[in-house]
Amino acid sequence: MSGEPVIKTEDLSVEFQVGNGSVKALHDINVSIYDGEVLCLLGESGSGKSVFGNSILRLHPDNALVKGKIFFNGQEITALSDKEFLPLRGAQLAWVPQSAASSLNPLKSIGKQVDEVYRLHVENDKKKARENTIDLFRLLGLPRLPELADDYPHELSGGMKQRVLVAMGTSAFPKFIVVDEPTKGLDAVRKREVIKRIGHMQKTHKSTMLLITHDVAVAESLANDIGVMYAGEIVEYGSKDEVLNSPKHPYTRGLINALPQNGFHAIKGFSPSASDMPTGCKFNPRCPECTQECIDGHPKLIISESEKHVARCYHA
Amino acid sequence: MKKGIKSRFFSRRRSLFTIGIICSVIIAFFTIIGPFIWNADPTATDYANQCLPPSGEHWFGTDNNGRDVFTRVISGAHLSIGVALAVVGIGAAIGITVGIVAGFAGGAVDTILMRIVEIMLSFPGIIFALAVLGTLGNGTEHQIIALAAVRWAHYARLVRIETISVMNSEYLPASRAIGNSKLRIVFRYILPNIIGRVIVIATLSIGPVILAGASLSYLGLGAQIPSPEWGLMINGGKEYIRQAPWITVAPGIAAVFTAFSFNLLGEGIGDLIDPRLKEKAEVD
Amino acid sequence: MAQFIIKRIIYGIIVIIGVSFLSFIVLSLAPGDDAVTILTHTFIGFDDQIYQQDVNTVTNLYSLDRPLVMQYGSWLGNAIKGDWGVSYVHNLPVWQMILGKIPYTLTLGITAFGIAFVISVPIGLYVATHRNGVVDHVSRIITIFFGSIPSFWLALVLILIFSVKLHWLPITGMGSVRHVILPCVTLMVGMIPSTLRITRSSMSEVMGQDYMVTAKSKGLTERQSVYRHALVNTLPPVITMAGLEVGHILGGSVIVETIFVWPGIGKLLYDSIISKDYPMMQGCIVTIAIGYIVSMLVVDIVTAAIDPRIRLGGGRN
Repeated sequence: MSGEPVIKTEDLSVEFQVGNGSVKALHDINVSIYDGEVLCLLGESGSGKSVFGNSILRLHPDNALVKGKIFFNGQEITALSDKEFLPLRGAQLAWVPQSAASSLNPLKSIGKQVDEVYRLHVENDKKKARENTIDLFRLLGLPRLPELADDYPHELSGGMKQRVLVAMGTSAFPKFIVVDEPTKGLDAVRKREVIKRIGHMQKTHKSTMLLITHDVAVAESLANDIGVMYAGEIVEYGSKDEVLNSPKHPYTRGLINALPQNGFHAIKGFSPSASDMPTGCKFNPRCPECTQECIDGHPKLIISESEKHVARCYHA
Repeated sequence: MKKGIKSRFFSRRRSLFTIGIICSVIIAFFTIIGPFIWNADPTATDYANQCLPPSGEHWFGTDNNGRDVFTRVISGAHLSIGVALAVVGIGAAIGITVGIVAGFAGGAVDTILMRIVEIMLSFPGIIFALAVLGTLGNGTEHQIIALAAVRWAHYARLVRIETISVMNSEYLPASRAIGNSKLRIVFRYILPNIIGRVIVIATLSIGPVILAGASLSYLGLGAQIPSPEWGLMINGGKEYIRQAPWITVAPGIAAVFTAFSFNLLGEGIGDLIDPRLKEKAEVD
Repeated sequence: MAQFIIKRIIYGIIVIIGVSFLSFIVLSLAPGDDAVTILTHTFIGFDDQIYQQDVNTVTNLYSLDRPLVMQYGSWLGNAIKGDWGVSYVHNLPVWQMILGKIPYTLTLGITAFGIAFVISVPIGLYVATHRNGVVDHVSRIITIFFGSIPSFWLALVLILIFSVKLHWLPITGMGSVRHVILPCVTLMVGMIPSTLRITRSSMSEVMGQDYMVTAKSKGLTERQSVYRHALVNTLPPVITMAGLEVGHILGGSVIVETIFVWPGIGKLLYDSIISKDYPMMQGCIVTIAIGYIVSMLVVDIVTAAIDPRIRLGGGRN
């Protein structure tokens, strides 16, 4: 943790206009990601973690309203116009989408789709772009090189497509990458392979990364810091070891207890929907330690240099 | 309150449906009530008043035989819409039956029926209808047969797909297990599942069928003189298009308005039921 | 790819045989005696006395007393050799007459087809990227309206306005560009709605796909991502619709050619129906079927060239 953070957010909130009303998907997120580190956002689907990743790259649909500030290398990128922001996207800030099956253009060869990023941001040279693509594919452990680059997405397995997307995200050597659910829909063997390769790639390129996942195992193998998300808020934040070994928030404890090796103790109830939020602490209806205080007040979460492991809980 | 009505009937999703309903009510008025108000004989000739231009007395003028064009257009509505409803009804009935049989039977029966459906769908319908009429000869009943013989395939394909998906669903074995017969399954599970789509396709096909019927009659392969069928009237009027264009124009406007109303209604129902469904129906 | 094309060709041949069989059977069910029709058209006048022995001679000459399936079999056998029978009315080989009409139908059809696509595809793409805008709503209403106009009436109204009233364009006949305009517009109005809608729905589906977000995340501008990733994915359904439009042209040509007295296949078919010239009807229907199947074949090949999933079959894994 040294110097200026690569990515820093201040009170970042996102609302979606739906019909006549609006739904708040993300509340006041304040995080910093430092050079060469991996921040993992851990949470169930619908907790707002992908919304956070999309906000950094401005990938939201038109009905989204983003409030608060995002800084990239000290520059306030939320103040840029779309035109000013465009050169950053793909070149400095990259994104690896979730749902690998549908995120590749089915009618173009995977090689061409990865080359495109290099040719757009580094150098418009067909040959060099392809060399770079093959290097990345090799680093990510893809087989049958270089012929594989001429294959089409439908000829690849899910794990291979996922790695192609990782290659696409890194092919212009971005400063910062958002990797969204890289293991979604993969079986255990492929999941391990993808995690291993992403870790290897991240260390080789010394990338700064925001990793979004619902899988504690993925966070454990790749993260430096972990932010646990629940209902659009970060409920616990700290280094990987602190969060996973001595969790402070009942929800984090619940997630860890729900792991197979800890006996599958699922948290009772379901995440609240964005249109029907409980008052007070949002976890209170499901919390075993809930008191009157938790229903009346909404606990705060302040991450500071002096106290890095924090939880949004009155009992922590 | 005023705003409430506006948003209820004229929201983006419902506007076409509402306009379609209003137009359909106007058509229903002229078709059902009209003949009682304007109850002149549509085939009565009056050679003293040939080819009179539109006036207060003859709203759409008179034709070359001195018949009142407005009266003829009104009574023609009866014929055109009647033919269209019969065609759509018969086509849907045959199509639904074939689709369910093919979906249920599977195997060779399914393959043969679906090949026939494909051939029917992959061939310009009007040509097939022409061939049938060329054989059967003219007449309104033959026209209904010819058009229904083209329409059924659309329903058969849709219903077969739905039948197969119900057959493969998880509740079917359960339903069989508790002793439901095949016929009961058809009525309890398959028909309710497809009714929405069938209604959309049926409504959307009324307009085209009205136009196809008029086209056939125009070509002399359908209703016969002196019937006030719109296509036939247009055919009869085209000889007088220089002196009395209203004989040709008026029944055409009626046909366009009727087809447009039913098309709006079909689109509107599609918007209401499921926006994605409609785009599928369009491809048919 | 070659295997795919061969499969489609075989399938097309089966469909053509199916259509020819179906139409042969339907036409054979016609009331009235074929022999009498042939006799009155070819050998004697309409008002002449019909003698049974002449009818019998004609029946023998044309082998009209054999079972239907055998009659069809010999028709098919001859048709493959290029003998499509002889027109009852014109007493000329059917094939020769049809061949002479094809260029006229193609001229009209290709012109209308080309212009309709040039108009409707760009509008479809525009409204798909500006959904629920004013242009979208207006174009939807107009397409529904266009789809509600019977082509024979439209043709007459166009004649009324541009030929009878304004004297700008000739009513019927052919020979100059001005003769093509009205029949062409009539055919186009029937084609524009379906083409525009399929373009719009295909394009808006593509614009909602995950890979379009990927394209955006790469740093492509809106325009670049549309040109590089959206358009090619929009094509397959549009091309399929183009194939179906060929059917519309062939079917619509019956009416348009009849009204504008355009000497194509459609007019020939109509005339043969009116005069009960069954070999000619059969020939025209089969020609139309062949035209249709060929266009669908072209569609299949073009789609396969665009889409590797069709070209290469299923995944290797």
